Amino acid sequence: MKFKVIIFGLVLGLILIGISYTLWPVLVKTKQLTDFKLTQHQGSAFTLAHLKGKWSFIFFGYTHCPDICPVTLTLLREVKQKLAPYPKYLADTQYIFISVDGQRDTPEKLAEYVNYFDPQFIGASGTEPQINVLTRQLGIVYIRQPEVTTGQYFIDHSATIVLINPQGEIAAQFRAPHTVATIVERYTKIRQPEPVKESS
Amino acid sequence: MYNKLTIFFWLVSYFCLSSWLYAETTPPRSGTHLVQIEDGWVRAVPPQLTLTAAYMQLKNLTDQKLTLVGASTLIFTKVEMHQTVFEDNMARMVPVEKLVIAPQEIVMFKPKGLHFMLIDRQQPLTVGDTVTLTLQFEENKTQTIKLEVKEDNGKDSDHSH
Repeated sequence: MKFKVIIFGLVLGLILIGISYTLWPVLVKTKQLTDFKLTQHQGSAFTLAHLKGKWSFIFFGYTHCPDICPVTLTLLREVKQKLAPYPKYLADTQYIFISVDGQRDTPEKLAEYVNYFDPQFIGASGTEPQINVLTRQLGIVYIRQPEVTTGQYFIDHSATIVLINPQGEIAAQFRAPHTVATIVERYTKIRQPEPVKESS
Repeated sequence: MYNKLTIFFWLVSYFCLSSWLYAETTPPRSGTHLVQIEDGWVRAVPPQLTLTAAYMQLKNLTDQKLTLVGASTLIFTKVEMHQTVFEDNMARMVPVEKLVIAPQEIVMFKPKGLHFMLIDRQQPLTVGDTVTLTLQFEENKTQTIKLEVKEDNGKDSDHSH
């Protein structure tokens, strides 16, 4: 009897895992973001409204990050270049670098940083609580390391690139290590079945 | 007898000490080719940023193991070896104190991996400039190398094509 209960439990568990596994992309795909308030590199506010109506690639990092951040921003620039044959995609796709180091990354510093990679890239940051409103919704984690010397510290951070659709929902999450080819391929595939309803 | 022993003691001390002092003041072996550098470059960054990274392919040309313990340059206050690691999709930088390179082994310093972190830039750097880096190995061995400041074209990381 006890044996049967265990078997039943195991089978039920497996079924539940199967269901959640198949539903996972659907669940992730429809995650609607709630509002947040950051400051963009030009000094004005950057909120959920700025994500609506466009497809947004978002990457989190900080300017004092010598390796992975410039690598990823260079990669996003390449993604943008690879999308050149699709003018439609190019026009309504934006690239956003959100600094998790609002303390050091002032709008001026962010402006110089993102412009260096692409003048059309958007940089945004804010105070820790402001940043957390967004990172928690996206499952982005960052941990500030102790100072090496005064004012000199590094931040461990999620290397995920998040894609937000024009409705402000998470459309895809690209985990590291990234490749230009896979991002472009997945993105164009997501965009392929363009919704018929133009105005909604 | 006692006097002779004292003299002997002093003589021995003198020789030991002098050889030790001599060893300490011997100029480090430089100019010799301990390692061969290929595809060395320094990442060009926005002018206001005072830190960047250096990458290269480093081959141990000797028939002994070499232990790389650090590097220095006049252009940056500090140079550290770091390894970018991904753990649970988190990008972290782990300091590397020592790097043992086997005879003839090639070690890759590349984006998203092992790199030299150049900290606290002391003078402006633009694309095309040269950074002279002195690699420091154990046993007081050094080798000076030159690296060009370049834009990242994605070539060295596996994200193109």
